[in-house]
Amino acid sequence: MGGVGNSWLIFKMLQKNARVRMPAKPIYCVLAVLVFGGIMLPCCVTVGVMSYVMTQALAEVGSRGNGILYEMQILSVFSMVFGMLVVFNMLYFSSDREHLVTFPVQAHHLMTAKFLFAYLMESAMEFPVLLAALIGYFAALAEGASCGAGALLGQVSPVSWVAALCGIFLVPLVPMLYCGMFSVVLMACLKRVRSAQTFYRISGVCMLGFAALFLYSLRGMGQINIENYVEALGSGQDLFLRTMNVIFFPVPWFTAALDEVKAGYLLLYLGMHVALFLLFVLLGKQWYQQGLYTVGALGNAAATRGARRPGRRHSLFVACLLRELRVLLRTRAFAGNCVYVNLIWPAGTFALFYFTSDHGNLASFVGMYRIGKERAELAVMLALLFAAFIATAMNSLSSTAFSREGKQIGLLKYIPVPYMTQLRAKACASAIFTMPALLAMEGIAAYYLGMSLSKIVFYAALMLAAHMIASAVGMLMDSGMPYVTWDDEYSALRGNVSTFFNMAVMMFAAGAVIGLSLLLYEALKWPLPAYSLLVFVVLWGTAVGTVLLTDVRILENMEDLDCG
Amino acid sequence: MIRAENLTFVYGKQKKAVDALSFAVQPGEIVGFAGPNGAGKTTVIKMLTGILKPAQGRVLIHGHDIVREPLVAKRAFAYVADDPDVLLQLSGAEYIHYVADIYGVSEKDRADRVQALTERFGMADALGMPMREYSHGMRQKTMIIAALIHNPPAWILDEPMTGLDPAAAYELKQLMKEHAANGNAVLFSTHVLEVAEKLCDRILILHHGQSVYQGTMEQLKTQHPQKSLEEIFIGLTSG
Repeated sequence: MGGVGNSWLIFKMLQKNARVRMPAKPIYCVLAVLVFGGIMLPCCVTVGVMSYVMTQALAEVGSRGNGILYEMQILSVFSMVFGMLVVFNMLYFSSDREHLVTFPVQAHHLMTAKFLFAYLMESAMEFPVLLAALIGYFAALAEGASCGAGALLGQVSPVSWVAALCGIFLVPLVPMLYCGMFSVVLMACLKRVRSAQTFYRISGVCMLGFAALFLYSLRGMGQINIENYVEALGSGQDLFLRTMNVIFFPVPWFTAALDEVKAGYLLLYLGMHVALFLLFVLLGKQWYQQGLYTVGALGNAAATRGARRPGRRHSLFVACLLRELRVLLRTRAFAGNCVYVNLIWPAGTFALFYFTSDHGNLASFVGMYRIGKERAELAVMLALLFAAFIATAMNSLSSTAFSREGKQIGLLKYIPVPYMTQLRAKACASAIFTMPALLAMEGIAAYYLGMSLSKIVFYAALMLAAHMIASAVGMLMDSGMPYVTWDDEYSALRGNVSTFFNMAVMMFAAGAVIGLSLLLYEALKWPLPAYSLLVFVVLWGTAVGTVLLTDVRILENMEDLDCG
Repeated sequence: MIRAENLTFVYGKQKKAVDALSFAVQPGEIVGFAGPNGAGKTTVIKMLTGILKPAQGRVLIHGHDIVREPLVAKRAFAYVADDPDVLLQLSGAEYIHYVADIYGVSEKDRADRVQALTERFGMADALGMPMREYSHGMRQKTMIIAALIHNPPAWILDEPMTGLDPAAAYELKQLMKEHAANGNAVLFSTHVLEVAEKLCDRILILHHGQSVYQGTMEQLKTQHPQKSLEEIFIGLTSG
């Protein structure tokens, strides 16, 4: 079988192995409907409407295509930032690596298969969003042409249709190819580093730098507001768009083919993807095998030194907690996806305020907060609450609390430690990694907003309550159906439906808390301090109730855990 | 058939896992690879199979250098890793056919071999199930069946008996004997000295990455008269 055939074979096998098992309980069907109807659909509709509005608005200033271009570039940035770790780990650190390299397959063919698998897994949720953006764009065209969707079908050039179809699948490909090339080059540069710790530190810093560079390029987004965005986008002077048009240079060719119906640009767009893909394969041919050897030879000197330290005696709780913390910090997949991912919140908040707090809408908002406008204060409180719910669900610390045990889940049952102690240790580990990031985020916001100490403490207490609710629900979900038969830690995170559904439930919870809080504020018309106290009492009451109720159920689930 | 020349491997900057190791497995031979935990057995096997690149030395499989001609060399051996927990969402049959596709095994050959091997290992009824539902031993049997599906001249097996029931362990030993009797080579690592004694034409004992004994069991016993196999092993690998 040829090289391409082997790549395809491995890709298909990886795909089959990634099938997610849906537990056969009615609640999971409800949750699946909730995820689709409550998250995916609204997301797609929102993007589609944005696309529609931007296209219509920009058509008036003669830059109709810049709206869809803007959206495609934002999606490209997200693909790159979130794809970086996934691609790097998939290429070099997945546990099937040692298994697959013994087969008679060229290393770069293996790399290609793994890359395509990572691209599809990572972009599966993005394809419907891209489709929605394009539907919004075509709807605006139909509106502009004063014809219905059916008539538009006949009017739009085949070049546009082909471009749209290609764009759905190719827009996320370039950022992922960049991630792949960066990973291969990074590994080639690190081939002389033999210590695992040094290797992880350097690669971590490189990837953080890469992500920071992209966050930095977002600084231009703050200059956009309702008043000036049409002008800024229409004139093509928007800093974000200009930067992204250089980095993701094929995307403007895509919009030119789509909007200006230029077949040459379509060919250029497709050709550049082929060229970039071939460049990636070429780099892999040169360096991928060497990178695999480098990973195989990494040593761990610090662990050897640590083993000679005398052991200290700890209480049952501390012993369990230390085990949780060590597993989380020392397992690369968990460290990246569950621990360090929390840095997004303070980093994002800093970037938001640093780049935009002295101009645009945010500057006005900061001004309103500083002079004590109640709605501004309410908005800050609710934004922090929202972040606490989402951050807790996003880091999966609670929704993988039991799945993380993997094949060793029987350990929970046979060690002579009360289930409640083990449960508390898991909950505490979740709080230890989530709350400091949330507090750092709050601290940064407090600095820029000039928040008083009493408010800082008050908001922190609210965030803690939100974290407790999210954490308890996450652990409840995971304890009911832990996913323990994973091949490696990355598949433990990817194949775990609890993580996915916990995120969905928390998005709903956050949305409900914010929506109800706003409605109630408008209905009651109480002074904000009194209203905040009401929110505090209700939220903490809910948190305590949730923890007490879920504790009982989680302990029952632990009792019933199938450790076979 | 399997030749290691002056193999050296270093993890990190200091830890020399294998130090100037040379040995050969000739056609028709079964060679056992013994040594205490951490002696470097798995590291040697990973170098033999192309997972790790030797810092020094080279590996020849069927006359082909595993680093310079990896594809030809890899086609010439079957490898069973010490951990059978891979691709667990696939069924046993899916996994075996995937490996058969990779090695380009014809439909007739794979049907014949799958039938023969599954019957010998008592796996015929379980192949349709996802491997996540298998016991450790069943996963190990599936890995063995898949590894042998292309019937290569050299077998390299890392702790292949681990988790196998007595009947399956017996079948595997019989298969190893038959394979060697047909002029092929078998190299396997083991902790069980009795297995090595009964099965191997020669044994290689590794300690701190270096060979402390290479030869037949009879020679080993002759060199250490009035000592049990365990005592000889502990004497060679202590310190």
